[in-house]
Amino acid sequence: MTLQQDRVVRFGELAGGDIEGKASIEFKNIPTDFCQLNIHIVGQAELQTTSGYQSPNDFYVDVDFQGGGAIGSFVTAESRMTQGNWYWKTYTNGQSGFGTHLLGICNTFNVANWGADQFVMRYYIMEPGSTRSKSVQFESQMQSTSAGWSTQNYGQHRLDPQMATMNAASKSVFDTFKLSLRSQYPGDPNIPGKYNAVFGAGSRAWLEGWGGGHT
Amino acid sequence: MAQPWQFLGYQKLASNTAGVYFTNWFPAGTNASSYWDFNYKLVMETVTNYSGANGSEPGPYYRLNINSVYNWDVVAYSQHDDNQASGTPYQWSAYPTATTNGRPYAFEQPSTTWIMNQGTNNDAANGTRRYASGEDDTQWGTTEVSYTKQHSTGHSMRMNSFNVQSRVNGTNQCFNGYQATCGTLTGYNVAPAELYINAANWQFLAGSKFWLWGCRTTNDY
Repeated sequence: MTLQQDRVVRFGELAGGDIEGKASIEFKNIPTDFCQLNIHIVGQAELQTTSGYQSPNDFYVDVDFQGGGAIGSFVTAESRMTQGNWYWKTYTNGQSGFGTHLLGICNTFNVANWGADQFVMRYYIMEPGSTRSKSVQFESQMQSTSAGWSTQNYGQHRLDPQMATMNAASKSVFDTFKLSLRSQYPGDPNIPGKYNAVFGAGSRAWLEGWGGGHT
Repeated sequence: MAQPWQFLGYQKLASNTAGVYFTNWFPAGTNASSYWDFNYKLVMETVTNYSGANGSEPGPYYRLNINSVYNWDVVAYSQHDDNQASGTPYQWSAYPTATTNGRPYAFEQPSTTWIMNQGTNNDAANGTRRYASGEDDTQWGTTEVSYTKQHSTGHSMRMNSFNVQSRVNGTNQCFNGYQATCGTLTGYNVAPAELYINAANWQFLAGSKFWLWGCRTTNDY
């Protein structure tokens, strides 16, 4: 796919049954001839429980790109601000970390509680078709049903090309992206205090390509 | 009704450079950006090999200017950190947070500004930053600037910048985060004609990249 440099294209939308009720989404074979690829995810977050026990807990996002072999080898940095703290905190994960960042505090349970715990996420990567090492930037905001639980964060995921375990993956083209939601206490939702994390009703994800033709 | 975003320019540095210019803005005439409202988006991937300590000496820092206007008001919140263990919470430092007026450059704070160097412990135990002098280098700083210029009001910018660095000897990482807004009323009735991006105390190394887009947000001509 060759694109004009002044074009902005939106494609690959996931909606309805493609995302609602699911714990993860994945894009494959993404066109790579862009200056900037944006990945947008908006919607609602839910914790699934069948035990009846409901306790708000942190909601995380796990990202996988450049293939499954890269999992666990991300260099990740994250800054977050949560209402109630009123200052920024930073969290970093070292080379053994996952591509993980906090989304917010989730307070919505089951599928009946629509309209709560709304989030906006955006990821972007420059020149996804190049063979140099790449970094994926992210920013997200989430507002829970509790006024005191708003969270925003931003940061960067990166594969370190100067480490043997990541070198090849870091220089491959960026054409796959998987994003998974995870509760603070994952596990069998029949067990009190364990939750599945899923996208709620109205959630959508799509790709946006800006320009193209650079290497 | 807004017009589609238009690609205004791309630069990839072939050699180390302290100053980068964009002069290819919208043409003059009835479509000139002095008459209409515009949004611009600037994305930068900048690389540095600076390994000096941070906070105790002037490290490399970056800044912008539009049309050589030397009067910018800045609100910035910066964090530079090193050697953070995985998942360790760390409150953002008060330095170099700044609210300041009348700076010569956008995103310029009185002393330290939009920084791109590493943390404080540049010693053997923690290791210096990795640098391979190539495009596979790990020290890319990524920055995105949203710039709004309305024909009858001032310039307004918002920036997010982040720089993750790996280190030679350390398993923990160091990084910089920078968030800032800035604006000016000086020269508000003049169309953007030149964007100047400056690396102070150091250079943008070869391989650094810069992109610029523009979007006219009024269509009533």
